[in-house]
Amino acid sequence: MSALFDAIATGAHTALSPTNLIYCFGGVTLGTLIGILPGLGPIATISMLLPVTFYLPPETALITLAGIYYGAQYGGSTTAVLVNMPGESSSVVTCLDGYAMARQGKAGPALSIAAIASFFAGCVATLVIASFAPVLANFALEFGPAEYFALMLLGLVAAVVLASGSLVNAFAMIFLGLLFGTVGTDLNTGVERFTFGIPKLVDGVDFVTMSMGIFAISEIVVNLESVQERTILKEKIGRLLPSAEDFKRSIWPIVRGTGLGSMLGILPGGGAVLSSFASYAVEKRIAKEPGRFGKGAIEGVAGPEAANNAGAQTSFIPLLTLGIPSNPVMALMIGAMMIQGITPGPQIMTAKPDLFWGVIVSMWAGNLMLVILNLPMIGIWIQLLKVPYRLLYPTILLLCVIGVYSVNNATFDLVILSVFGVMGYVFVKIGCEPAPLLLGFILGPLLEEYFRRALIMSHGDLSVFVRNPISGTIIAMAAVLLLIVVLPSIRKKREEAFQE
Amino acid sequence: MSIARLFRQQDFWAGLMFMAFGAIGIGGGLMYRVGTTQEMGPGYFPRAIGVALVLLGAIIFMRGILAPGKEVSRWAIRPLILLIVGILAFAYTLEWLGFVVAATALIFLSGVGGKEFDFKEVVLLCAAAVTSAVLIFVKALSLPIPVWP
Repeated sequence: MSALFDAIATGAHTALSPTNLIYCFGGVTLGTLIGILPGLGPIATISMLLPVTFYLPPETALITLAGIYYGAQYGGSTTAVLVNMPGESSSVVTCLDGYAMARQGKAGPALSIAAIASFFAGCVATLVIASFAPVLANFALEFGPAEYFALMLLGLVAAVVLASGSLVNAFAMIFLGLLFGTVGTDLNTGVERFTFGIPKLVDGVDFVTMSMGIFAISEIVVNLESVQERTILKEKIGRLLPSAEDFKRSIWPIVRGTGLGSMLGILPGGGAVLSSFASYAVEKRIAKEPGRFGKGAIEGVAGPEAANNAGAQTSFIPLLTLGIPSNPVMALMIGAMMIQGITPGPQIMTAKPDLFWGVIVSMWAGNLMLVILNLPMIGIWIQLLKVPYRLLYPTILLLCVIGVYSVNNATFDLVILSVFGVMGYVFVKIGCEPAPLLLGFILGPLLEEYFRRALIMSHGDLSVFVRNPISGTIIAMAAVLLLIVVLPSIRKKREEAFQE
Repeated sequence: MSIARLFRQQDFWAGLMFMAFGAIGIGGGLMYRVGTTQEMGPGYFPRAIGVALVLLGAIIFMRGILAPGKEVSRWAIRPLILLIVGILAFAYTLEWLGFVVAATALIFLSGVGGKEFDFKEVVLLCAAAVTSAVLIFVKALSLPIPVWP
């Protein structure tokens, strides 16, 4: 126990330094902002801001990026309640009851409960990370290449299974990401692969440029397809504080949502979206009057909001302990760490304790800031909802080009950005969700490296992955997961779940 | 199924795209040494990915033919082209005419791409965005970006 306190003290020293507090504040404010602004997701924003963080010390960079990520979860719920439009996919379910409450003049209590639930979940999830991450990291220190290969495989399979849309398409997108990942000099042999004589490609495709093109640029084009009508709530927000009755109804949903979110967040591919859906389903099932759901039941706001925030936070566990991203945002974090010269993996905790614990403690600080940011300042955020998209997107575009250019000070990178922009738009049009591609791209080089190393050590014997007890178990888990989804009966249920 | 309808299938095009990329991966296996499982050459991994992509692409392609599903919605050609031209114009002019000219070109071209283009509004937006970008990125963060020609 005292070791934990020492560790938290180390983290507090880093996280509560004035610079890091300011960057954390900047991160959560920006996160809230993009959560509220439509048509700008966390993947696009984080990739836009990555070049700026290259100039910061590693812990400050990660604290800022983490703040953007969980800040966006908060902001996303504000638009869900007030405009019936989820700012992020994790707040889709909040729309159901949150907007219904708002139409009954209870927007204030809905927003407060969302903030309180998120804060509670954030605090608990931070503790979960602090207690579980060291155990997992110690365990993972023993891992060899075969275990890592198996873990990454499981991560990729889980990410596909839990994503919405066609399974085959998602798998194909992962493989496409792996293929993009092979561009550049092969580390083992020094051979240049798929560079087509373009000198800029020798170091590989830059992941900042790629994710900005595929996510930010194509998102803008998709948004410009149609003029969106946004009706801002006419009803008054009402008093902010929930009544005693509201509190009584919300306590257990918050606790259950936090538990669910903390567990699902750890799973590769899980995280915020799945957690919020699961929590809503649970609350509806165990409610005494399920008929109230969808008509302004505060439980339907409290549970999912706690769950999505808890899930968003605990999805850092696989990142910080195993170096494996559980979702595309975490994949970007890995990219950010590698650019800072940090190899993600179990050794981070012992080699860089100030970074590891600093990021964790900053999450708690960031959550506190979010409550303060969100509740009293809700009026300002509502004003922001009125910013028309036609003013927003040229600004986003300008930030993108400055960001891409600043990475290498090369205008050729902007040409690559355009190529990926067009590609990202084509993906959307032909029904291929681009998120799995990013996971495949980031994991690809690592996957190849571990695959090769494991096979060199086993003298080319492919059975090494199954014979090794740990990697064998992990691969079996991946296979079971895959089987479950392929079986028709369960597939039907999965489709139903996503339709709800 | 009529050819016109087939050509509107998302799966038809997605399948073709994945198979084309898969062919590139397999081509990598031909261009670069594949090696053995124990001593893998640079072509081993790309070839494996390529084979998987071709197979998955074929499944998606067949699904598009046999089980018609979602169709490709109308393309937003105008915003796409103007945005891309804007980025390329920025890239072309930045180091030659400086940031102010390049950013103005980008904002105007992308602004025209939207449905509600208002000249006066874009002028104001442009002035505000360029000024704050210069202050933040060139003055405060001192990125090496040429401001004027």
